[in-house]
Amino acid sequence: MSGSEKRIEEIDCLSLLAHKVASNVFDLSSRQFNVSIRDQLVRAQQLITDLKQAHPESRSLLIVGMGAAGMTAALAACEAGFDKVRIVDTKDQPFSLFRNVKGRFVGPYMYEWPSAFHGNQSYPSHDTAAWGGYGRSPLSWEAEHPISADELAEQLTQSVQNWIATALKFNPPLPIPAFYVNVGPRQIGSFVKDFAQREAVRAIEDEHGAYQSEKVLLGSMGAGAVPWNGLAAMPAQPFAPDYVIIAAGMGTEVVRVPGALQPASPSFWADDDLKSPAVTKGRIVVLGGGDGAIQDTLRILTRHDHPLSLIRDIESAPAVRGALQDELPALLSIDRQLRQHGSWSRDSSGLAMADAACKRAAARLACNLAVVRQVRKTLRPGTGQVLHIVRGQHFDKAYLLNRFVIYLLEQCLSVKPGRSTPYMRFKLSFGVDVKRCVDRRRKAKGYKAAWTLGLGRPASKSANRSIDADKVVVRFGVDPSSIPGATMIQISERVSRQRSTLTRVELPFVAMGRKRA
Amino acid sequence: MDGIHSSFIGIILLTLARRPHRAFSLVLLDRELTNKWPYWHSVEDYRFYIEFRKALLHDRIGVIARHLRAMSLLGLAQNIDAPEGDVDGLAATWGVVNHSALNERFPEDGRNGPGGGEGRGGSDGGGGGSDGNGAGDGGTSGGGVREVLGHPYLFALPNQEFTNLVDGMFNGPGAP
Repeated sequence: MSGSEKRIEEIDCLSLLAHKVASNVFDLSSRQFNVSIRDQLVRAQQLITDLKQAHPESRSLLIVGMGAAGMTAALAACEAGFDKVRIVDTKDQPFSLFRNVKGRFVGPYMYEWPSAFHGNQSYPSHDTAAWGGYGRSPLSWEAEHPISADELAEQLTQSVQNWIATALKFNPPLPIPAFYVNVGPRQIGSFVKDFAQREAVRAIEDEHGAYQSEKVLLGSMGAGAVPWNGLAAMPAQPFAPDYVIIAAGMGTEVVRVPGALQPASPSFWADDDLKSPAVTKGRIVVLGGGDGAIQDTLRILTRHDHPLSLIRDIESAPAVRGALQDELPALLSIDRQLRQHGSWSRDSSGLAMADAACKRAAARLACNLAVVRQVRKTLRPGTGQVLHIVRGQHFDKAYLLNRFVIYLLEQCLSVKPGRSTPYMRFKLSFGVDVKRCVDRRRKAKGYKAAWTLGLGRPASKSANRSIDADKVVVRFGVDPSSIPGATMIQISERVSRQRSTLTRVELPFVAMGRKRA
Repeated sequence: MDGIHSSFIGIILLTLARRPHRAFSLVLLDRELTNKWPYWHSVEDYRFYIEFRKALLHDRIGVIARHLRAMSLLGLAQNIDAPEGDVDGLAATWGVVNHSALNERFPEDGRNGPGGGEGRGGSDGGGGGSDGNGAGDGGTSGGGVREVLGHPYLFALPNQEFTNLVDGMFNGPGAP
């Protein structure tokens, strides 16, 4: 064969390799580097597109989890040509994580700040970027501002219903996923394990041309399993998927102070009392170095519910906007560099670089009294104090918006105002860990604080000082030991800890996949 | 993998259940297969040696070991050295557990065992799958992405990590 006759078929398979966790099983829910709502939607679409391209004959798919990622995968799969799609959840309705959560706000591009399109809060339509008109998504919503998680759940539910109505109008109609809620976690878990094992065997048999074993059937999904909104057969028919996608969320969130028996704060996706007036009068300790901790500190200190609203308020004064605009090119460059660095390295030097740059930019702005005054206007009145404690020497993985704004607050609040301060004080401490604690929340009386924390250096075993606190907010994120390691590519049978991952590769802003139905 | 090195082992696949009365086994040979002429006294052994060297070149040993491991998952073969499973490495002796099922899976007129090696990834002819999963992979055969997707450990988590992952479904902050 001459060189000109050689043809190499090139297909996209990055997402397949990034998310594969076992034979014919993919995981969309853990170990992801960026997990904004947009990241989840794009990631799910990319996976479905690549899967169908790699295996055009595949028809059936089981998706575990009816969150944003799972639902996107299910609808995208029907569009791509899968005609037997089943999506299941243990809760009684989709998007249950977001339901009734009114204190957390979500926007598809909020954390792309300072990119020019960060202000668009509808998805996927877009009028501030050339690629905006080409974005496709089975789930979409319209909003002018970031919306609460509860409202997003409602909008996404409506979006699913709209998608179904549209699918039925096609001639012939597009297949519709079978939605099952209240399924038993044990039954689904057991099936997924059996499925992976059997598919491993089948793959080897296929490779050698041997007679193939039967696929594993998903029979019972638990006694309580019912169709959601009647959008599935009942009783469920036995189902033998070609592939399984896990989008069910996993990992244990750490919400306890080290040494304490009871959780100090509700989980991240739950309403809390940080916006109550009482909080502004006490000493609040926030533990953690990621987005969750920063967001909660901002919520306690300022009148705003999310960082985008805060930065808009700060730049609403023309003089401040000009000063801020001068810093944006450098900040944008940092953001791009940090994301690219994160794709290639787990080294934390990129985070340290971003921290230092944000702090420098914030310090320059804090030299401008107009900026200081404007920042202080955003603060809640109060007599209390927020002490934000980070174990490391810099913030951990956090979006640039959060990282920059918290430094801006720190710098602006450190400038002496010259008179008594009507707002809460703020102190940011790095390289400090909680070594012991006393939880008196149930028995604190009179002068006694609800908490006493012994603080020390992370490397030290003992505490070198102790502080009292009226409230402790723990935002350590997910316990790393409760999820598979962030590195996961295993290329030999021999188990090695020297593995790599593709899940940190930055995603496109929208999925622009062709319709493959 | 203790003590196992490819240049120190020889694996003989005696039979693939064509004759149910025979044991189906892999035998570890402790002869060093180097530049020496180890089987000069026997033409048969010499032929085996040549074939074995070829197999090494084509990673057939790994293929055989994977196949046997897959059969043990199906309950068709059992590792005699470690009946509870957890087979580690290539050095193992295997016994057939279910002769009749094995015969069904590898019929007489089928392929010539793992040594054939040609036309891999085409139609399987057996039609065991219900949804056509055994069909060709659209031009990506022979190490294509389809093979990677189904491979037991290429790009897959180790078994225990995968089990932990599945056991942790529906828990935690990301649970929908």
